[in-house]
Amino acid sequence: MKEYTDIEIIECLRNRQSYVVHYLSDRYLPMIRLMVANLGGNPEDAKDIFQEGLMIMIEKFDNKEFSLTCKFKTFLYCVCENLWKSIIAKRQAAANYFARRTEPEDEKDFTEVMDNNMCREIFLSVFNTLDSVGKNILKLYWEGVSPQEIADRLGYSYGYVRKKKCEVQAELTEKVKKHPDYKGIVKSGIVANRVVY
Amino acid sequence: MVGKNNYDREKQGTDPMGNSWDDPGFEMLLSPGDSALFGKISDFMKGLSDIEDVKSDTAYSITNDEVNVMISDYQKNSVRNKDNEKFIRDSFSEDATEEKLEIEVSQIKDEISRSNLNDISSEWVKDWHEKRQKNNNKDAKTEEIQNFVTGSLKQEEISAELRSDYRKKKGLSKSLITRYTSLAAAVIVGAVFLLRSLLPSDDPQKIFNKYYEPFNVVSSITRSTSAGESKSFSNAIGSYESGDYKAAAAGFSEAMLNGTVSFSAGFFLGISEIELENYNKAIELLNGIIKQKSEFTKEATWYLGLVYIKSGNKVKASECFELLARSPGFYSARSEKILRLLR
Repeated sequence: MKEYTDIEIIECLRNRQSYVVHYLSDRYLPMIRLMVANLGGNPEDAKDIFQEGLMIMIEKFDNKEFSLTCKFKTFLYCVCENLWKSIIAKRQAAANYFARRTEPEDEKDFTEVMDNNMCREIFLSVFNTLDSVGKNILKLYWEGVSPQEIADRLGYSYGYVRKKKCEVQAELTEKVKKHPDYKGIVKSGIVANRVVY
Repeated sequence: MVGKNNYDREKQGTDPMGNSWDDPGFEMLLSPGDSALFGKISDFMKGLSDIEDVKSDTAYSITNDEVNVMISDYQKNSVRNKDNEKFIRDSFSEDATEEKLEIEVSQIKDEISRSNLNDISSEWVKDWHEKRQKNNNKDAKTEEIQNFVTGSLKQEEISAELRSDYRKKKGLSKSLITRYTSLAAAVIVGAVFLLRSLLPSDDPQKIFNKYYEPFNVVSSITRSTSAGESKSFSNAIGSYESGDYKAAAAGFSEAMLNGTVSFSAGFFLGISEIELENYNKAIELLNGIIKQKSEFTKEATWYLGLVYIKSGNKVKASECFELLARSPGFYSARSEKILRLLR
């Protein structure tokens, strides 16, 4: 995946080059999904927030006077977090106003949230059982670093990095699948399509 | 993305140097379910690491306060910029289509592996080939099927041709009118081409004027600087933004001497020197930035190329734009254009 500098991202957004929106979505939507999920939202909410957050930012970037004094990622996160919090507050206010009785639905949502939280805990706990070399390689892989660069940074051969990544990927998925709690969630049939990691 | 298959191939891609994560052998061993699960884990881990990174950013709390005000302003303002909205929505709908396709393909693959369809279909293909070889295509049943399929496809082609003929006919009267004016236009265009080919390529001065504009400040990048150093750099940025390049150059020089913001200060000093028409000094500074490989490398290469054009060194300028044209991103297409003009 081609990486863009903050300056390039802003210039591309100013020029309305849609490939940079795809890049941002690939690169940062997981972060926004996790933030929204942590605050009780679902992937659809996250997508909406991400889109509206970008619109807000573009309006700012269009103003040539605007200068960014932090990382683009930090700015994006702050905008989306604030936007989501404001929406939660509005939803809460609306819910209070109408005082609807929605216990059965709430109960279902609660189960889903619990399962999603559990999934995340499983992913993290299984990841932490991997050996340190494997963990480092996967972390860098998730940052989009190429195998050659990882090899250079960690002092291994190119072939070893690729081989180790395959091994550790297989180990990670196997361990998650074998985790008793994960099995339980899969059995309940919720994880198949609804998991919000 | 949630539910996406083939995480490796989709996300990490192949780079042109052959330095790639692609491993078809390994991917073949993975079941679609494993691949999707790894995608989910990857998304979660990426999100987690990004959030940790953001939260540990020293600028986080200040940005958060500023953004708070920004969001409430945005929400108070009921008139939205429709173009921005359309741009973002369109970009995402392209993504959604791709995502839908990937989900569909993943479901198909799942079904193939569940129902053992690969083995069954490969048997069918084998039988089909054997039958064709044995009967040399003379089997009546096979012939009938073949005629049906090819005939149907031909029909589709004919109706497509008819549709396109109809469109052509509809445009005929218009094209008869335009044909004569086109002839005249062609003569003029031809003359312009002839003149252009006899004259030297585009005037470098024109290229410079067309593409050069002082770099727009988007990041002060002063997080790691001490208070005093940061102040001198910020002052220089202020002068730069107000167009006082002399004061800006002095400020950036001072910041460079302090050392900690040398990349940004050096880069902005380079641009200030262009503005002050000290091209040799600008070349020296921008070359220095490029050699040190900082986040300004691409920008410095772009401006260096332009300064070389300005000072008449087409060879050196071409080297800069060739580098940028090869590297995808904002400068790629415009560098290609400049290269064409320089040739």
